[in-house]
Amino acid sequence: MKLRFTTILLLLSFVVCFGNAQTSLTKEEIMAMSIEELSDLPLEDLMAAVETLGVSSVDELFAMIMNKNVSSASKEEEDAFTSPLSSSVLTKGEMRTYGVTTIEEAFRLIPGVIVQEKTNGMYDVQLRGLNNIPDNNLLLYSENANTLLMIDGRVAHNYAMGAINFDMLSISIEDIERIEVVRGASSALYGGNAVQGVINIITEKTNPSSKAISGSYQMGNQDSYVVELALRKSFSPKFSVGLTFNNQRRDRPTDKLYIMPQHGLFIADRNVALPGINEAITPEAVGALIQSGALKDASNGGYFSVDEIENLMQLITTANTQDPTVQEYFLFETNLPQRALKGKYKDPSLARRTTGFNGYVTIVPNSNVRIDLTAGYQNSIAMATQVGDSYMSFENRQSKSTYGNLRANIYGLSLNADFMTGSNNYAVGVPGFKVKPFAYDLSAEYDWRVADFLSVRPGVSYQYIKYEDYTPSFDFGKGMGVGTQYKEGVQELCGFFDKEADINTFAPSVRFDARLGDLRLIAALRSDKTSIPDAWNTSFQFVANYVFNDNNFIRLNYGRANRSMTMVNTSSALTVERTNMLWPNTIHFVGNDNYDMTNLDNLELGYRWRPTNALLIDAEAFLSWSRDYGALMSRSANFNLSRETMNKLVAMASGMLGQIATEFKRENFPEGPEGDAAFSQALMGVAGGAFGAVMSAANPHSIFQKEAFIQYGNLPYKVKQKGISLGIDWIISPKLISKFNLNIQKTTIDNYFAYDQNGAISAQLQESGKYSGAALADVMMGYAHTVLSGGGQAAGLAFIQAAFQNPHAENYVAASYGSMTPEQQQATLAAILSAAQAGSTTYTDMNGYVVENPLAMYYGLKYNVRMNEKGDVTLGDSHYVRPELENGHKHKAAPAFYGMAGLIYKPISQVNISAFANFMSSREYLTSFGTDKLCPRFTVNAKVGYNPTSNVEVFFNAHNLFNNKKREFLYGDQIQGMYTFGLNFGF
Amino acid sequence: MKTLSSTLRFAFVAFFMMAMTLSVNAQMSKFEALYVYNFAKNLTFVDNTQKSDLVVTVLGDLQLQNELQNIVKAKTGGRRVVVKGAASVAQLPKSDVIVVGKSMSAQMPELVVNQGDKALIVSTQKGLCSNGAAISLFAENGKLTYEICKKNIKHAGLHVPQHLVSLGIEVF
Repeated sequence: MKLRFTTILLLLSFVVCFGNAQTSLTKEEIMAMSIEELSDLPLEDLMAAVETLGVSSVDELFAMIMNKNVSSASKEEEDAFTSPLSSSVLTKGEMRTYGVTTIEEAFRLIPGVIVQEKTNGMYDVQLRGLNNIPDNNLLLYSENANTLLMIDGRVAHNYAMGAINFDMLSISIEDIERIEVVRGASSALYGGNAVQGVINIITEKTNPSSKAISGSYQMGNQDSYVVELALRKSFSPKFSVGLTFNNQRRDRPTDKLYIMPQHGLFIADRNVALPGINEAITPEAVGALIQSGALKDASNGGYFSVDEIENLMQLITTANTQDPTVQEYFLFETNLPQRALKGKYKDPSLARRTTGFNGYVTIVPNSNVRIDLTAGYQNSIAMATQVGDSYMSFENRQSKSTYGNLRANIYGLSLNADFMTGSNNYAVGVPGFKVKPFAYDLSAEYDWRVADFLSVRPGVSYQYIKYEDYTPSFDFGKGMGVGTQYKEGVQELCGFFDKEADINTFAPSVRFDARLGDLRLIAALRSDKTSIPDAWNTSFQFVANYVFNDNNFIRLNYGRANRSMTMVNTSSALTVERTNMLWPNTIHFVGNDNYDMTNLDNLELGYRWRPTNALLIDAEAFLSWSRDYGALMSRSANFNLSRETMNKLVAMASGMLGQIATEFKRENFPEGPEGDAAFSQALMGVAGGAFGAVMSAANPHSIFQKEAFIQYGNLPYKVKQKGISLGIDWIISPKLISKFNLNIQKTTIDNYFAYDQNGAISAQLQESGKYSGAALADVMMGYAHTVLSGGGQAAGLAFIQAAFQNPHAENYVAASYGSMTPEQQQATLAAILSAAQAGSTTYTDMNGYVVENPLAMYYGLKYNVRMNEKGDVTLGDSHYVRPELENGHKHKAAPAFYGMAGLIYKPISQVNISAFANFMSSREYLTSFGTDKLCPRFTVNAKVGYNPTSNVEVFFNAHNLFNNKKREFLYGDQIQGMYTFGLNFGF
Repeated sequence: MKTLSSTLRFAFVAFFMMAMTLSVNAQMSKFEALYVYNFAKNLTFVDNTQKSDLVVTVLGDLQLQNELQNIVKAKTGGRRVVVKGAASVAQLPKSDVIVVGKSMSAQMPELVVNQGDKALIVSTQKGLCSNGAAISLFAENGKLTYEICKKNIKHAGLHVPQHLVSLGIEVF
C-alpha cells in the first residue's frame, strides 16, 4: 500500500513539473499562418509549430495503425502491408489506447489468436488452436505448445513441460515497441515450436527522441494493481541505455479451488472413524457413512475450500475376489497433498504476482555495426493450469529467472547469444515439479546479397537446455497422505529427471529471397538435429508474393514446421510411490528417446487490400495437416508378488493343510481308477478351499503390488484444420477509428480414438491381474496338491521353490498347473521356465500350441501388458484389443468462430474513449476428468482517458465491463469485471 | 426486397464512411510537405554545382505531391524547386530528391539500387534509413520527427547542414 501511495505521489509530481511544455507560438497563431509563412520558418521553428498543433490526434494513428513495420516475417525490417507471410503487428500505442493490462490480453486485438482468461489476469493464448490434442488426457495438453514465443529473437519456451508461460516473462507492455504475430508454419525461419506460428515481441530501443521517463500505473478491484516504469537515456546516437521495472498483483474472484469431476470423490469427515485403506466396506456401511455426513459427495466437481479439499478421498467399488457377485467398496486417499494444501496455497485467492526488471544497452559504433545487449530478472507466482493429474484444475506456478541476450549485426552478419537460468516450480507443493533450468542459444546468420534481385541468408544455430533436480523418487502417498508430515524441504529433493537431463539441438538453415519486379519468391530450409531423440527434423517454407499495385498484395505460402522436444517426454526417470492411494501403488515415469515430434504442413493464401489510405483489409485462408501427436501412455502394468508376501501365504496355507492332511488320505478312497479319480477330484476341491481361505485371510487386495510404467508415445492421429481470417483497420474519421477481426475455423481428426491414460492403466491392471491371480492360484493349488497327495510339507515347499526360481527378482514365478498329471506339470513348468528365461513371452504347451507365457512378467519382461501407440493392448504376444479408429472426428477445444471489434472515439483531442468486444463460440474440452463444455463468450472492455497535457493520460479502465461471469477456460474461474483507475505518462 | 434494401443502405453508409476517410490525413501530408521543402532548401551539392532548379519527385503519394506543389507555387524568390510525381519506380524522372510515399515503402530496395547514388531519398515511414533512405519522416509522441543518415546523404552526392542533422535522430 505504501509503495502504491509513493508511486502515485511520484507520478503526480511529474505531472506538475513537466506536464505543461510550452512553445513560443500559440496554436491560434500557427493556424493563422499562410503556407508561405510556414514554409519560411526555420526547421526548428517549424518542428515546434507542428508539435504545438499536434500530430498525435490522427496522424500518429495513421503511423500507428496503417503504416507499421514488421521484421519477423522475413527477418528484415519491411512494410507490414507487403510482409510476405500472414502476419499482424500491434504497437504499444494501440495496446495503451485499448487499455489492455497484460501482454496476453493484447493478443485479443490480433487476428487468429484465441485468448481465454483462466482467472484474473491469467490467460491461455493459442494461435488458431490445435490445443487439447490428444483429448481425454492431462490438462497440460491444453497449454500452447504449437507457437514459438520470442522476445527480440530470444526464445522464451518452457521446454520442461512444453508450453508458453507468459507469467514467467520479465517484460511488460512498457518494454514493448510492437508485437508481431506470424500465422502458419514458420520453423524454417525460427526453429522448433513455430508450428502454428511465431509471436515475436520487439522491445522499444532507446533513441534520442525517447522519453526519459515513461510508464503506467493503475489499481482497482480484486486487489489488483499494475505498475510499469521505464527510464531511457540516449547519451549519443552511438550509445543508449534503458531500464524498466514492472510489478503487478491480482486476486482471483474466489479463494475456493475447482475440483474436477471424478466418480467416487468424497469429502471425508476425519473426526469420524473411517474404514482403513484396503479394507473392504459393504454397500450398507458405505450408505451409512454417506447418510451420517462422514462422506460428502464431491463427484460432480465444483469450487471447494482448501479445508474441504484437504479431506478429499476416493471411494471405489470392485467385485469381491472370491465371489464376483458381491460388490465391495474401498476408500483411498486421493493424489492431493492433503496435509500440505495449506502450505501449498499460502494464498489461494492470489491470481498472479509478478515482478520484472530489464536493462537495455544499444551500441552503434558505426553505420555497419549495431550491438544490443539486454538482461533481466523476473520473480513470479501465479495460479496456473495444473500440470500433473491432481483433481484440482489450478496449481501455483512459481518462477525466478535471469536472462541475458546479446544481438549484434556486423556488416550483414547477425550474431545472437542468449542464456536463461533460474528456478521454476510448475506445481508448488507437489514434489517433482521444481526444476532448475539452464539454457543458452548461439546463432549466426549472414545476409549475402548475391545480386540486385537475390539475397541468400545462410545460418547456423546451437541450443543447449538442461533441467536439474536431485533425487529420483518419492512416496507420493506417504509424503502427503496419511501419517507423514509434508515438509517444504522435500520438494527440493525430488524431480522428474533423476538429478539432471540435458538436450542440445544443432540447426543449419538457409533462406533465398528473390525480387523479380513485383514478384517476390522466398524459399527457406532448416534442419534441427536433436541429441534426444537422435534425429534430424527438417522444416521448409516456400512463399510467393505479388504486388499488383500500391494497394493490392497477394501472398501464397506453403510450409512445414515441427514442435521441439519436451524434457518430461524424453528424459523422465521418476518412480512415484503411492501408499494409501488408489492403485497402482507405484508409477514409473520413463523417458522415450525415440519418438516423433509433432509436425504440421500448412498452405496459406492471403490478400491485403488498401481501398483508401485509411482502410486496410487483410484476409487469409489456411489449410493444415498435422501428425505425430503424442501423450504420456501407460506402456505396461504389472501385478507383483513379493517373496515376503509369498512366504506369508505359504505359512498360512501350511497351517491349514497340516490339519487337513491328517484326515485327507488316499487310503480313505476306494482302490482302482475310480478311486484315483475320486481322490484327485476331492484333492482339488480341498486344495481350492484351502487357497480360498488363505486368500480371504490375507486380504486379496493387498497381496499384489500394482505398478504402472508411463512413457510418452506417439498417437496415430492425423489432424486437419481449415479456416479463414479477416482483419480490418479503419480510420473512419479523425474522431472515430475501428478495428475488427473475425476468424472461422474447423478442426477434424482422422485415425482418432479416445485415448485415456487412466483408462489404459486400469485396463492393463485388470488384464495383468487376471494373469497374476490365476498364476498365484495355480502355485497355491499345486502346493496344496503336493502336500495332500502324500508329498508332505517338504515336497510342497520344493514345488514352490521349483516354481519360483527366478534368479533376478524379488518376484516369484507362478506356473499354470490345472489338472495335469505330475509329469505334465513338470514338463510344462520346464517349458515355461525355459521360455521365460530365454526372454520369450510365449511357450509351446503340451498340445503343441504357442500360448502366452504366464511367467513373462516375472522375468523382467515388464511389458507384459502393453499398449502401443495405436492403442493396441498386447497380452504377451498374442492378444490384441484394437480400438475402432474414427475418421472426421470433430475437435472442439478451439472455438469455431471468434474475433473482436473495437472502436476508438476522440470527441476532443484531450479525450480518448475506446472499447472492444471479444467474442468466441462454444468450446468443448475432453479431459481425463470428463468433458467441460464452455458456453459462447462475449465480453467488452472499455476505457475512458483524459489528457490534461500531452505527457499524461488519466483513465478509467473496465475489463469485462458487464461483469459476464461465465467461465472462459477449461475448469477455470468465473471471470468477474475488473475496474481500474490509473495514469499513463511520458516525459 | 427487404434484404436488398438493407444491403443498399449498408453499402451507402459504408461508401459514405469510406469517402470521409479520404480527407483524414491531409494535415499530415501538409506537414510532411513543409518538412520536405525545408530539407530541399537546405541542400547543397557536394561537388559545388550550382543548379538553378532542384527536382523533387514524389513517388506514390498524390496528396503529398499536391501539398508540396502548393508550397512551391507560393514561393517567389530563391532557388526554384520543381515538384514532379511518379506512380512507380520505373516511371521516376531524373530527380535530386525522391520522396517515397508510405504505400511505396516496400519498393525501397529497388529504389536504392537504381537511384541511391543519384538522388536524396526521403521516406515517410519510420526505420527506412537502414534500407537506404537518407531521411525517414515519422510521427511519434505527438511530434513529426525524422531519422537522418549522413552516409546515405553523402552517397547521393549531397550535403546537409549540421543543424538539420542535430534536429533529427541521427542513425548510422
